[in-house]
Order: sequence, then structure tokens, then C-alpha cells
Amino acid sequence: MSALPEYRLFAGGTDLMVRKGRGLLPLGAIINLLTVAEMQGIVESDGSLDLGALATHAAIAAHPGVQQAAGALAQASSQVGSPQIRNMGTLAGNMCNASPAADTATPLLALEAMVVAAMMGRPARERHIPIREFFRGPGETCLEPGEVVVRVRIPLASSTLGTGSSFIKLARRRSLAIAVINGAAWIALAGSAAPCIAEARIALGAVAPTPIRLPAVEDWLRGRPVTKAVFAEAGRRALACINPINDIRATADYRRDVAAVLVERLLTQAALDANFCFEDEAPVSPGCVSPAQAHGVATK
Amino acid sequence: MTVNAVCLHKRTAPCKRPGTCGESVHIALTVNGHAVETDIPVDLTLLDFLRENLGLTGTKRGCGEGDCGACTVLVDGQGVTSCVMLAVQACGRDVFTVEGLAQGGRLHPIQEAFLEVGAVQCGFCTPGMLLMAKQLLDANPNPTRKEIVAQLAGNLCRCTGYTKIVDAVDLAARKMRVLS
Amino acid sequence: MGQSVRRADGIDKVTGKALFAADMCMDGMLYGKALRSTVPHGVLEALDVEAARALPGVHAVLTAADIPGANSHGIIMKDEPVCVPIGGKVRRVGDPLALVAAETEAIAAEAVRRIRVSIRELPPVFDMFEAIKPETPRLYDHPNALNRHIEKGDVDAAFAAADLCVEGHYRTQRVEHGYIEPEAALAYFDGNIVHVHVATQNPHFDAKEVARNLGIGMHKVHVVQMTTGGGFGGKLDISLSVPTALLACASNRPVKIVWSRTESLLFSVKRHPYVVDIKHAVKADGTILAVQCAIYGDTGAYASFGPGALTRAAVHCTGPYNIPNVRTDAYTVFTNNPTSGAMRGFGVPQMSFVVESQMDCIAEKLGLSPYALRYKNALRPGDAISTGSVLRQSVGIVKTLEAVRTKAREVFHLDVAAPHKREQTNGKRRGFGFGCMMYGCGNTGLPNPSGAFVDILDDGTVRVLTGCAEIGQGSSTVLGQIAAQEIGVPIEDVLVLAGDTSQSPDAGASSASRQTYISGNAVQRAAREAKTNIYTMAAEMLGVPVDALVGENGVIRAQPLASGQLSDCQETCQSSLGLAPVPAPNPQGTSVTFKEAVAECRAKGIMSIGSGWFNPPTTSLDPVTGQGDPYGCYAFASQLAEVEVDTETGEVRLLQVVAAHDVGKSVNPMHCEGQIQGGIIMGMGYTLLEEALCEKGKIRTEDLNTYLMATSMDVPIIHPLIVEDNEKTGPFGAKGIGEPALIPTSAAVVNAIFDAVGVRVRSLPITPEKMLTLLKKVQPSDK
Repeated sequence: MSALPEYRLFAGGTDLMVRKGRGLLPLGAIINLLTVAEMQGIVESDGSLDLGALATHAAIAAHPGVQQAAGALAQASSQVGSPQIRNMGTLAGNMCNASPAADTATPLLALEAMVVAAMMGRPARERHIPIREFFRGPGETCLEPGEVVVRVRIPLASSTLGTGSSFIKLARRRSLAIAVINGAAWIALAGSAAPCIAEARIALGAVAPTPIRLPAVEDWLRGRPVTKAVFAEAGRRALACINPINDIRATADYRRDVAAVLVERLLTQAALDANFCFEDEAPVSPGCVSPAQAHGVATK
Repeated sequence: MTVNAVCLHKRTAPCKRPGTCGESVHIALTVNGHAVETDIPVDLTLLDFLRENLGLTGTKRGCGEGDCGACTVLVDGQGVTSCVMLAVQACGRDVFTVEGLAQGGRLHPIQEAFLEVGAVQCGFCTPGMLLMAKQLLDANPNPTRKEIVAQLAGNLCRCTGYTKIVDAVDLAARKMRVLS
Repeated sequence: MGQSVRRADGIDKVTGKALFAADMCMDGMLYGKALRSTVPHGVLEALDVEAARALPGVHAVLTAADIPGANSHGIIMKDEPVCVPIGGKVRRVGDPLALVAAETEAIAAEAVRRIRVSIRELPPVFDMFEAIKPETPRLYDHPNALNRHIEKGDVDAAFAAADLCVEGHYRTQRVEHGYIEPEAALAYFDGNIVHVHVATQNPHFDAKEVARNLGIGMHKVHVVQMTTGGGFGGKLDISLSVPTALLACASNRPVKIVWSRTESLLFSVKRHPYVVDIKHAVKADGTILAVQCAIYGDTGAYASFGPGALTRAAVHCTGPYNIPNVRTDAYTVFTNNPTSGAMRGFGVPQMSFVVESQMDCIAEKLGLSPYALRYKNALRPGDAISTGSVLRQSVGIVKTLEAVRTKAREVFHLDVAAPHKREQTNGKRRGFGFGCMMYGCGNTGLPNPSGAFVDILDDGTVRVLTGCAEIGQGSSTVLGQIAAQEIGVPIEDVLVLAGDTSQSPDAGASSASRQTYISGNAVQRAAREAKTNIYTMAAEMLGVPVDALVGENGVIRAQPLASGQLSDCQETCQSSLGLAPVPAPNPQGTSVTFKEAVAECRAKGIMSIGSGWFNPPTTSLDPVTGQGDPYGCYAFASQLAEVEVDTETGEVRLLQVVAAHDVGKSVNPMHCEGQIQGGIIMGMGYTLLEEALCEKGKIRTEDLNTYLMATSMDVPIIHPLIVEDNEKTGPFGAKGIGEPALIPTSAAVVNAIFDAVGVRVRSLPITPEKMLTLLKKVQPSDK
């Protein structure tokens, strides 16, 4: 391998080929990973869900085991790019491209996935990398030169009772879109009479150089009751944890505005996914009048 | 467990298409049911292979970056944007293009449906739409309208506003259920 | 007529057989590329092409000095160079400086890289209001702003007499046509004729410009419009037909150029961004007395269709309403920005957004429903538009309003004439809004004729030869239907050959929603002439007067006359010869087939060919007052949009649209619906999603990842309603639909947003960010 000129690892190719077309990728060598059997496939076992690095987004989104145990990831995978991109693009490809807005990243963070990597030529020596250490910067991962992601392991709780996850992507259109902001949440509720939050994990994308967890907010949530007001406060607290930028899709200010909303909605949806029923909903008044009407649009 | 990475950087026969990276690779695949075997430059896209090498111009280039779906073909029955796929990735696989739909001079029910409801205007997005519809209907003979809309979400159309295309796929599903 | 027949070119399109320009290949074909300026303003001082010419595989390198003809092109003004000459001005990023033809695209690109360029930069002007300042240097010999002025009635007196004056300031953005097929052309010279195969909306214009730049006669240029993947106004200007023709002649080989999507996004024309200041004078009862406005459109480096679009915007500044006093100034402003040109609607989508927003502001202030205000002021036969032109018939705006009202009852259980309550759930608010429009079909106050040939063949089948470019809008099908109806044969017996300049006369451009109306008339006239001899023969065969014949679906029948009614022939006999009336001959049940009549003609050596042309009955606009008759007919429409605003994220979703369009007479209802649906989606994109971002003279949205268009998942439910208010001067009563489909949608959406959240948005596009910022201003506190 050391004799090769500058090379790129090639899986689905959907990101690499765009860069190649723009002349940003000297194609000295590409190493085709698609024929590596061990990196395909999705395997369920007790305690974990193993996603082969080359599992396509389409395969992940459609897999009943993933939908059941890692719903947020299934949802995210179903919203990457387009149906065609999902047929070609792979989980590891999305991860290694390491865009801060990568759709699969926030569910992996919220689910506390473990990335299993190995050096080419030394496959027996696997390195287990917690997902929180994987993303280093925009386009940068912690992988060493010559290292390849082999699979991604999602740990499964012994029981999914009282747990739920969610994923939300905000984008300018509903397909073929890079997220303006995205996020995932995982929640575990405890107690039956007055459930409270045993543990909450929140991940946000496109608000920092890498996709991030929000430990300060998660700590604050621990033990709190499950109410819309608590989630709204969590959203407000999230603002101190993020550092968005202006880009062609949105401004930093907008991302800040909607980050709080996103966190609140993520937690709400995760709680609903955990079969929680909200009782403190403010009733929506029927027949409410619009501001326009209030200004006196009355005559026929 | 072994990691068997296959290196494409083979030094074989000189490339027949000057101006590319200069390396050539041998591929064998089927296209619309016909066996095809040839040497191609390693960096040739599947789209260019179909259009330039095989003369199958029904598949179109709309953007070259996988963002419009006009270049959609089916590889092993799955819709892909062939402009961001290397031809060599299709080696050993079945490629299906719009030219394969009509059989023996008879239009495929999907093609018939598109004509019947007026789902074709300029026609440039049509081949891609037809093939994504085929992927869907081959796997799911009774899709909901929502499923049809989602299946076409990677194919841009600037003329029709999509509604009649969705109508056409819905009609095609009915036609195909009658035939089967 | 009136039947939803399948499109003529459908089978080729669904089988992939249809040949688009990029699909063409010829032996020995070369690939062309252009060297383009990277600076927005300057003087070209030197070009060194020697290294490019020396590169193996390069067959031609052309600069301005090598162009045999005019080295200029342009739809209205010939102000755009094919290659900027030494000492000439570079006026925008992307101005072509040299052309290369080589064996492969890669070699051509390398050759372009090897050309050495020296441009002395000049201070660029990017802001319209900078450009029109007197102290700003002129970019051309003419002023930086060309003005169209319209003055009707007494605007000052009207404002003095008004009970209410409503002012507004509005802005719209640059947008991209976004046809899925990028520009492409292939040209070759066969020793006598220059052939150009090109994606275009106006093949005869291409031929004219090729001839001018090659310095040869038009008769030596053959342009074939290939199957074209959409135009929307973006394939009218010269892009590739002249460069490929020049390179083909210089290299003596076929030359093909296909633009990448990025090249198309960077270098094709865009919709003019507008800034509009407008005010209305209104009486307390809702009668609109006057409108005054100033319209500024940034046409960028070259005129393109700018003066036409701004003139049209000025004419349409009243909207579809009867306003007796009008004062408008429409400025086509030149800058060093990328060129703006024709785009579907041609200035009227911008004006509809402005005018219809004003209408809702007026309604709100007066306490009238938006429907009632529009209904009251809507144009009716006998009313005059801003140019004083009186509309005598086919004024369907009221019908479209009524049609929307009826449908809204059915779909939304809503009477749009009455106040209504809206839902509020979880911070999502819904609202309804109106957008209406009128649109003059054809070029504004300028001649724009179409010609056509019709040939009835020996076996009774028919060929229609039209220069009308089919760009997906269905013209080839519709023209075939008109011919079939006129001649009385089944549609299957009619073949329309279109867009080939060696086959047919000029039919003008497929733009301005003019082809059904103008080429339709031309084809109908040609068909009428062609069939004359056939019907005369049939009359002889049946022994009846020719005006007693009716032809339909290949059968010519003698119609029995009503009792007591004399045929024309008999009347003539009676009155001029003093003959006593004779009983009408008994023609009941007598008929002859069309084919039989044709055969009879041929047996006697009688041919059946026809030519026809039509130019709408217009007058030019007075240069000072803008008064005149600018169009032959007008399309009208009303759209009602239902939107949902997420008040926490600012996202706006268009849920449903009821769209009623007066098309005069629908030639092909299925196609008509398709146009309405497609137009609304493009209109939705214009309103909520699209912007060709431009900074320092460079387009920043260089790919379809950053220039976003609607996908299938973004589409609302559309209820298209075809309204027919017969247009007497149109073929079988038909007018146009292509642009009207798009025009009122942004207005309907922006008014629906106001209804939903009480926020008046005065600029496009309405991004979530813009919406959220405006919402926060209105209600700064949290829930």
C-alpha cells in the first residue's frame, strides 16, 4: 500500500465523484471497497446491532431491526439525499465524509455507537472508537492513514421499554437537501406514576465544526419531569453549547433561533416514541381569529 | 475477518480514450439483458459509458453531480444516478436503461401510462422517472401516492410540476396489476 | 379541438429515442469551449493564443479578429459580442474572449487554460441605484437606464381626490430557468450550407444571428431545433449556435458544445431582479382611481430582453384591474452583473407579486375582503388597460374569480368573499390568499408574426410545417389539433414538422405565450388555404354549395339547411339574377370521404397546399405616453393558495392551490392542466425557494445543490380550472397559458401568509429565515 500514490477509499462514491468532477480529487488511485464482503450486511445480536460499513442508507432505512431498535438512525438514513443516493451511498462513506451536517451522524451520537476500524493489511487488529471521538473537524475524522471503518456497532439496551429516539432534519426542501440544522435525541424514562427523565442524549448537526452532543443540557435534564416546559427550557439551554456559522444555506443567527426549537421538538418526539402521553398540553382554542381579521376584515 | 481491498489502479492495456487518467480496466456486465464486455478507462462514469461507448443516449446528463436524477438507470434493479457512478462499479451487474423498457415494439405499461395522462412535456427527465417508477412497481405493486412521491424525490422536473407523473405511476401500477 | 389527445412526440420521449442536441454525434466531431472573462468590467488589452493553437489535438482557436461577420448578437439590441475584441469592453464575468475546438473536451479545456489574457480592470457597477446616478460613468453610449414611461389620465388629480393612498416598496430576486437539459449545440459545414443542431426556443433567430456573424446569407444557414428539454425563456438568447457554427467553419469539422450545469448556471440569462415603488389612490368604496409606480430592473451587462420585459412590466402595472389614471416609469438598468433576460412571465410575475400585495393591503385598510376588492375593480369588456387599449372581448378575469370562489367552497368549505376563521395548531398557522393576473399574449407593441405551410398529401394525410419550437409545452400537438380541426381530418392523419428553418417559415420565438395564438392562427390560415380545393371538389362531387359542407374526422358531409334558409349561392342567384327561389337540393345523408375528394383533385391535377401567417393586430406604444394597443389578446387568471406557516422555524408550506385560468378555448385540456400544474410549482419555487445569488458580479449558486428547485415532495395539491372566454381573434377562440400558469402564484402565497400570521412580506424569496425575522418583529415575545 505504501507504494501507491495518493489514494482515496471508494465505497458508494457519491461524495468522491462530485469532487472528482470538480477537479478537486486527483485520481491517483482509488481503492474499491465495495467487494469486501465483511463490510456489507446488518447483523442483529443480543446487546448490539452491527451495521457493516458498506451498508447502504436504503438498506439501513428499510431494515426492521434498525427501525425497531435504532429508529432515529432509520429515519435519518431515509432522508439522506435522494432514493438513488440512498441506493448507492454507504453509512461509513457518510461518516468518513464528516460533514458537520451529515444526517447519520447525530443519531449515531445519540445512540452512542461504537465505530470499529482496522488497518488495511492488519485486519485482525480492530480499534474500537466511541462515536464521540470519531469526528474531529469539517471533513476530518480520527482515522489514521490506512485505517478503514469496518462496521458500526449500536449497543442495545436490554429492554427498550421506556426509551425512545427521534431525528429531525430542517432543510430548504424536502428531498435532495443538505440540512440547515439536524439533530437526534434518545431518551430513557423512569417511574410509572410520574415519569421523569432517567437519561437524555441530544445531538445536533450543522451548529459546530462537527456534529455534537449537548452534555450540559443532558445533565440538566436528568431527573426532571417530562413536560413541554422542561423541554422548552432544554432548548434554551442548548444555545450556550453551539457555535454555528453563516453559510450558503443559512446564517448563524437563524441556526441559533431554530436550534432551541429543534431540541424541544426532538425531546418531545423522543418522549412520544417512548409511548409517553403529554397531559400538560395547552388546549388549542377553536375559532381563534387571525391578526388580519382582528384588523377588521368584516364586510362581504 | 479479512479486509480485501481491491485496487483499481491496474497497469494493463493503454487507454483508448486520450485525455483521461490513462489507465484502463476490463469490464463485463449486462445492459438491458445483453452481455457487454470491453476495456474502458478506469475513471469513466457509468453515464458516459452508456451514452458514449454504447450509444444509448436515452439516459441524460442534467447536472453531472447526482442532484437531478436525469441520469438514473437501474443497477441490479436499484435506481442509481449514473453520473456519480464509475462504469467499473457496474462490472458483473445488470444495468437497465430506458431503452430496455419497450419490448418487441410494445411499450411498457409505465410508458403507456405516462402518455395516457400527459406526464411528459419536454421529456428530458422522463427516462429517469420511468426507471425509478419501475424499481418501485417491481418491488411494490400497490404503492400509495405518498410512496410514489417519495420514490421520485430524487428526480427533478421543471415542466410538469410532478402531479401528472405521480398520476402516471399510479395508473401504471393499476395496469400492471391487471396484467399480472 | 378541445380533446386531450396524446402528445405527438410522446412515444419518442418515453422510449429514449428523442434526440436532444447533446445526443448527437458525428464522425470527426470536435468539442468546443470558450475562454471567458473572470472579471466583471474592463478593457481587453491582449490575448495570446499561440500556446493554445500549438497544443496537439486543437483544430481551431478563434478570437474576435477571426470572426468574418458582425461579431455581435442580441434579441433586441445587438450589443453582445461573440468574442470581445482587443480594445473592447469586458462587461461581465463570463464574457467570451476566445473559442477553441479540439479532439476531446479535455484538450479543449487545456487549450483554453493556455490562452494568456490581459484585461485592464475598470471599476465595476453592481448596484442599480449606483448605476443610474448621473456621476456614474456610462457603461455604453446610451444612458445606464433606459426608460419606458406610461401616462394615462390625470394621476395627480386622482391622488388629490383619493380617500386612501397605499404605498409600498417591493423587491424580487434573480432566478434561474433551471431547465433540466443544459444548453447544447452541434454545427457542421457541408461546403455549401452551415447546419446547426441546437437546443433553442427560436430557431429562425438563431439562423439570422449565425448568418450575421458568419457574414453569409440566411438562405445558407440551416438551423434544426432538436428535441429541447425546456426553455422558459432561457434558450432564446444566442449561447452556442453561433460559436459552434464559427468553429465548424474554421476547422472544417463538426463541432459540438455542451454546457455543464455550472456553465449554464453561471452564463445563461436570469430573471431580472426588480425594485418597485408603487402607490395606489383609492376611494372609500374600494374603487381604485390611480396607480403610480417606478420599476427598476437590473438587466446586467447586456440588454437581452430587458427593454421588452420592463416595457411589459410597465404595461401590466395595473394588474387585471380597471384603473383610469396611470403613471409608470420602468427602467432597464445596465450594470456589470450577469445578464438578465427573458424568463417565463417576462416581468409580470414580479409585477403580480407587487400589485396583488397592494390589493390585499388596500382591502385590509378598507375592511373589504380581498375577493370583493378584486371583483369590484376587475377589468370587464369595454374597459381600457394602462396604455388606453380597450378590451372588447374575452376578458375572463371575473369568470376566473367566480370559478375560484365556487371551487373554494367545495374544497375548503370556505366562502372567499366572507371573513373566515383559521386553524392554529402547535405554532402552525394556516391562511388563504388570492393572486390574480392578466397577461398580454405576444411581443409588446411590436410585430411578431408567425408563418406556416400546410401540405395535404395524395393520400389525404397532412403535413404541417411550422417554425414553432416545441420545447415541451405541447405546441406540436396543439398545432396539429388546430390543423386537423380546420381541415376536418383525424389527428392521426396530421404530422407536424417543427423547428427546422429549411422546412418552414419563421414562427417567431416560443415565448410570450404567443404560439397557440399566433402560430395557431398561422396554421389555421394555411390549413384553410390548403383545404380549399379539396372542399370545392367535394362540393362538386356532392352537388351542393361549398358552404353547405362540414368536414370532420375525414368525412365531408353536406349539411341540410334549415327550412326556408337559402344557401349563399341561392341568395346570389336570387338577388342578382332575379331568379325565383328553387327548392334546396336534398343533401341528407350525402357525404364523401376526405381521401376521395383529394383523389378527385389529383386526378384533375389540382394540388392542395397552403401558406398562412398572422401578426397580432397591435400598434406600437407612443414613446412619450406609452399609449397604444400592445397585444392582440389577453389571458387572465385567479389563484387561491392555502399555506401553513411554522411560526417557530419560519418555514412556509404551500398546501393547496385553486387555479382558474381563462385560456379563451382550451385546445388540449390535459396539456392545459399540465401547464397550470408546472407553472404553479415554478411559481412556488420563485416565491419560497429559489435565488440565483450574485455577489460582486459572480453567480454564487453554481450547482443544483445550492440553486434549489422544488422536488416531488414539495408539491401542493393543485385544483386546475380551465375557464373559456372565447377569444374572437384566436384560432377557434384560443389564447395562451404558458406564462399565465406561473404568474399569480407568488401573490397568492404572500397574501396567504399575511392571512395566516399578519405579516406582510415585501421581498422574494420568502425564506424561512426571512419569515422568522419578520415574525419576531411582529411578536417579539415567546409563547
